[in-house]
Parts: sequence; C-alpha cells; structure tokens
Amino acid sequence: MTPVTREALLEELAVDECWALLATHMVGRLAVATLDGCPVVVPMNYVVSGNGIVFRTDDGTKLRAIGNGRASFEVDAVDPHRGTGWSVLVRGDVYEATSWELAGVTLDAWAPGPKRLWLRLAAREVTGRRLDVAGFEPDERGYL
Amino acid sequence: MIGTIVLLDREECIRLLATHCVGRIAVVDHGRPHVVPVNYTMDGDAVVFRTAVGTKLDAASRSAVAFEVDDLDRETREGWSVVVHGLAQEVTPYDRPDIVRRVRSLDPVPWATGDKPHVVRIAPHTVTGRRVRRPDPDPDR
Repeated sequence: MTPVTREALLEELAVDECWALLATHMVGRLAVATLDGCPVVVPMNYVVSGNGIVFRTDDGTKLRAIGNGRASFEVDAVDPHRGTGWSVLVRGDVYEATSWELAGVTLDAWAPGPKRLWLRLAAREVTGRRLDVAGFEPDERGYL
Repeated sequence: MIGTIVLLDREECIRLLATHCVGRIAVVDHGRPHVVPVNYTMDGDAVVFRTAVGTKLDAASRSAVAFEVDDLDRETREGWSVVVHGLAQEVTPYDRPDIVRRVRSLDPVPWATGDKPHVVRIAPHTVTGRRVRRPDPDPDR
C-alpha cells in the first residue's frame, strides 16, 4: 500500500495564522496533568490575550489539581462530512493570572458558577494544521 | 447571560458519544499533558480509535487517558460535553477474542490515508457529562 503523502492533505499553519484562528473561536479544550500524573481535559471558553490564552474557572474545579503547571490547549473546527477543517495546539504553562495581565481582558462565562479564578496559559509552542479533502488524522507528531 | 448546567447520566453520555465522530484525547507523556483531536467510533461504552506507530499517542497505550467530545453552539451558548476517563489499551490479537472480533468489525475508519495499524480502545472508568442551557430564550431571537 502506498500512503498518500500527507503534504497533500495537511498544511502546516504559520504561527500568526494559528493566532488568527484562535481569535475567531471561543471554546477549546484544556488538558492538564494532575499531581498523580493523570490527564484531565475540560472544554473552556477563552480569549486570546497577548501571547497567551485566558480562562475563567471556579476554585473547586479539577483544574485546581494542576500538577506541574504544564498545559496543552486545543481548538479545532472540523467538518466531519467534508473531511476538512483545522486544529491549533497551544502548549505552555498555566498559572493564575495577575491583574495587570487581565487589564482590558473581557471574558463572559458560559456556564454558571462564581468563576473566581482567572487562569492564563503562556504559550511556549503554537502549532496548527489545516486539513484538506480526504480526511484527517493525527500525524506522527500526534495531531491533525 | 449565564446558563444552567445539567449533569448527564452515564447512559445519556454514551448515547451522545455515539452521535459524534471527532473527539480529543488527552494523555500525559513524561509529565507533559498533550491533547489531540482524533476520529473515533464506539464499541459499546468504549471509545475506539486508530493511530500510527511512534506518535505521541503511544503514551495512550496502556495508560490513563481522558477523552472529550463536545457540541457547543457559540450563538446560543448551549450544548453539551462528555468526558471519559479510562485506561487506553492497544487492541492486539492477544486480547479477549470477543473484543478483538468486535473491534475488527467496527474498524474505526481512518479518515486519512496512511498506515494506522494500531487500534486503541479506551475502557471507560468514569463517564461524565454536562449540558449547558439558557434559562430563558433570548428575547431578540
């Protein structure tokens, strides 16, 4: 079997294009590791702020269990019928945002709860893929 | 306007999982969380997907994973999300014959071409879900 070259299917996105796509969306999935090394993933609404992503959450959520502060955040728009779309991954460190980092940031909560905690994911790495017709799957680096 | 949250029972979560085909799998690889979109299918209450050799999803074979599917409408800000926590395990010929047979018959379709020889099955430990609803219809709609 001769695999079709991925270059024909998957276009790697430039960093500024990734940020532009992130700015068009409102919901992504934040993955963190708990202290005992288990993965946790939650959908979060977010806003882009500088070279980071800002979230609001409750004190009591599982995100309090963030182990080492490392986080991976994923946003995608995929049309499963046409097999087209894109995904962007932001990897970095997540921490409680300081007030100066939140200056000018507005973010409505979608779900109820006090949402007292403002988190910020400082990007260390931003990557993205756009997929063409013929479908998508994680490539050898593990994402679309 | 802030919505209300309804917790979904396991049965409803499994039903919702079966209506979709793209989810995101989160793994921890050497202390680093990693989340990637995958296309998947269901084997009863277990999530099944294909992966290639040498991917970061290798961390997903025989380890704890979290798998998330959601359907959220940005206009109405309504929708649901389901998260499966469980043990991911590659399905091999040495697995229980009924599982091997079932998963082979499902054959989670790899959307992309290329060699995706590994079939990974997530045996669910917990399945939780939430639905967000608006309290009232928007008067402008």
